[in-house]
Amino acid sequence: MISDEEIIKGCIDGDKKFQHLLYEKYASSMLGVCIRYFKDTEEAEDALQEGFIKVFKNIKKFRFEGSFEGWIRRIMINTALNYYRSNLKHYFHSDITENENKIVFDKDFNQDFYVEDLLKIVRDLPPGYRMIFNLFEIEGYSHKEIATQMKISKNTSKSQLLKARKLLQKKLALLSKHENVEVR
Amino acid sequence: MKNNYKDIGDIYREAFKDYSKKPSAKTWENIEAKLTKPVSVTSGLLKNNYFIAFSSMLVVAVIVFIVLRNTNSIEELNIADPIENVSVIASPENEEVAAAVAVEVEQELTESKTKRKTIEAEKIIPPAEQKDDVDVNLKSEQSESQQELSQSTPEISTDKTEQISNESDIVNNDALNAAEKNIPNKSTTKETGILEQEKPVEETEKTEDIIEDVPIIPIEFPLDQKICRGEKANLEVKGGITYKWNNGEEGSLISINPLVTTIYAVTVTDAGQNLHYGSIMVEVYECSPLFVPDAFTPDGDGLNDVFIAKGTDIIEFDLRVHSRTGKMIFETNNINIGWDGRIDGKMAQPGVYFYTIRFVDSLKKVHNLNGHLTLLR
Repeated sequence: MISDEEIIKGCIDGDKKFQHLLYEKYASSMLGVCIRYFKDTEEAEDALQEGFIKVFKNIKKFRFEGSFEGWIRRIMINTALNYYRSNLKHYFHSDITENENKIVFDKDFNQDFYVEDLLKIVRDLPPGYRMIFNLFEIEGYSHKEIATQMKISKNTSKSQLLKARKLLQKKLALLSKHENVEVR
Repeated sequence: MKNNYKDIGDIYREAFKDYSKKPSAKTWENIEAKLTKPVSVTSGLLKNNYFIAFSSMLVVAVIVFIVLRNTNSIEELNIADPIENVSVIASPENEEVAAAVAVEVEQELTESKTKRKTIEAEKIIPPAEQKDDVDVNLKSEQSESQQELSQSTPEISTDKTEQISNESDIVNNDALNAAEKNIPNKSTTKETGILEQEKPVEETEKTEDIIEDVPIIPIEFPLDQKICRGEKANLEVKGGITYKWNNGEEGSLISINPLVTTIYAVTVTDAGQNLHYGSIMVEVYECSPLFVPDAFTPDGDGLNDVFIAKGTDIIEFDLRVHSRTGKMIFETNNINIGWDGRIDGKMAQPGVYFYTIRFVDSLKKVHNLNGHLTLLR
């Protein structure tokens, strides 16, 4: 088995075989990351593609400190963020100015959902909501980080997260009540 | 209550902690295309330079050869009688021939047709007096075109012969022997020739190369492999054009991760549209002495509260946990100690973290593991 370090070194040398190896190793899990950020898979694959090109072009900058998977993942998420930012003018932002330090959630669930259902629902969210929900809940970004990355205020991040969660909860509740109902 | 009912963030975090989806084949093709574009420009140029240099040398050699044969035949016709003593004639004759060759090559390069005609005329007309006259003619020619080189010492010229015979395989013995004394000429014509003859040379040689080279590549299959369960193996077939694996993949290189011993079969099409079959057995052994969880829930309920690796017969152990940003937040050399989900005493944010583990097993084999873990609330 070839270690990550060898693969990375091969990629630094521009060896196509190692580039392919690296891609094979991480492409699926990284598409699993990208896919949550885009409404359709084709877009997610575009981002994945761009992300990997960035990885290969910048791999010599990886300093073998910390996790390589984390490094790639961050590049993928940054690529998704870039897409979001470049499409920003198409998206509508409502900035809620009231301070919502305490976010109260109204519903929890006691059942398991199919991943594909969960995916569909999160991908159907408005782009801003989707971005914030992914970054905050799954990636573990702070509101401060999200605010900087998305060029919004911290409060907007919080309020949009709240809205995203409510929307998701509503759709999940629908899904759990009527399993065969198409969630829109 | 909290234990039974899940927060929506937790639901999502849990569902997507290991979510993966195989991208379509075209994604890699696109990446590959974009990556090779800038690279291939430079390497292509490099190759071209070598190619031009090599092929122009070939062509010079071929011209030399052809011209030699022509002149030889002319001389055979004309000198039929005068040849009395081969050994005596050998050197001057050779000198002439080679010189004529050099001149001829030069002419072709400079494309002065009139000059050529006169020289040809000289060659044909003076069969009887050739020994002297042509020699003089040639010498004057030489001094006109390459003064310094015609003066060069014999040692240098023989040196060059060797160099050149190494460089161009096609220069045959006749040509070499014949041209021995005049190699300096030849080499200079070559040098100038490289510059002037590039274009036509490239075209003619290229077609020949393609026809000759392609079918020679043998198909190389990978050897059978033994891996530990959970490890990945790479199988690479070389030399084919298209590949069809029994697991549906179509690349020359596949990365596999079988959980049980598996035979991978591949059908390869070569450049001549011939099919080749190969199979590779990948034996899977239960050998990783370490189990690493991919998620933990530091909520104090006694279940999975600590991120800890479990293993036996570990001699050396080093676990590091990094945050998303690459900051190291936990390290231990004790396999019995795990990360409790706290950073500087404060509970860490739920989300994805990354670990790297280096350990040495009882057989003194060093293993490097890395992956991600999800901190769930």
